[in-house]
Amino acid sequence: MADDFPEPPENGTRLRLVRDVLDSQMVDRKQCQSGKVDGIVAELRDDGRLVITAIENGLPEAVRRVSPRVGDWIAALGRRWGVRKGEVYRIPFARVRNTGIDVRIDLDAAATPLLAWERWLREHVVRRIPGAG
Amino acid sequence: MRAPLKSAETRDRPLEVHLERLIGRRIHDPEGRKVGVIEEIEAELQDGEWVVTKVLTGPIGMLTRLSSLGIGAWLLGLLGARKSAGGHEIAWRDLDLGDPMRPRLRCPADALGPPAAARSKRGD
Repeated sequence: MADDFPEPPENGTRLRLVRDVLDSQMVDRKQCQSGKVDGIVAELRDDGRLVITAIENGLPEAVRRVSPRVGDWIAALGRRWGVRKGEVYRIPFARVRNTGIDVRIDLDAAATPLLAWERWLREHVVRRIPGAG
Repeated sequence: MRAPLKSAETRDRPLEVHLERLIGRRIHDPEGRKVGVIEEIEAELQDGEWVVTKVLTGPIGMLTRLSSLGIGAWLLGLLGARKSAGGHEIAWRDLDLGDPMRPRLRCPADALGPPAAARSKRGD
């Protein structure tokens, strides 16, 4: 529930992006673990300010940090065979409600591609296990 | 080869920067001297928007990232780390990302003042 989110931070609050955001576990409004933060996108405004606009989740983006070529290969493979079609899912930073050990996001991950692999595994593997659900 | 920082599909929109791809990049000053490697990026909430304000380089940035600045700096001292190895806090406005693959300082490295570890040891 959105009501569970902590109070919004005050003006002037500082945020360490690598320590508190990057690679942190995302948790949605239903307390469901929804993947890791693989990327942070900022926008360079006309006044010279660099404003954080979104976080990203997706294997290609995580791999591009190490090797853009391998990241592009993974994206291409994903488009052909992947459950998420190689998509890197972008979440507006305005939806980030808290950072730290977890990154709390104000959305329902089940309604997004964030949990596509979990859904695929549930439908194609777990459901076929005798005694499952 | 490192990933480009800018997103290719955003040419007609404001320039996008992938901040995670800045981590680990070496900063040079205008004279080509090495300043340090970006370990951490700090943002500040300004009128509802998170604005990048500075980057941290060197061990001080890494220790900050690991939430162990105090004990980490002490351990580095015990191990004989030089004060100059502390790293720098560089204001975003002092950083030139004209070539995002090679971030450069807009000012000489000397203008940054002593490394952050040395400042904190002096109690600045």
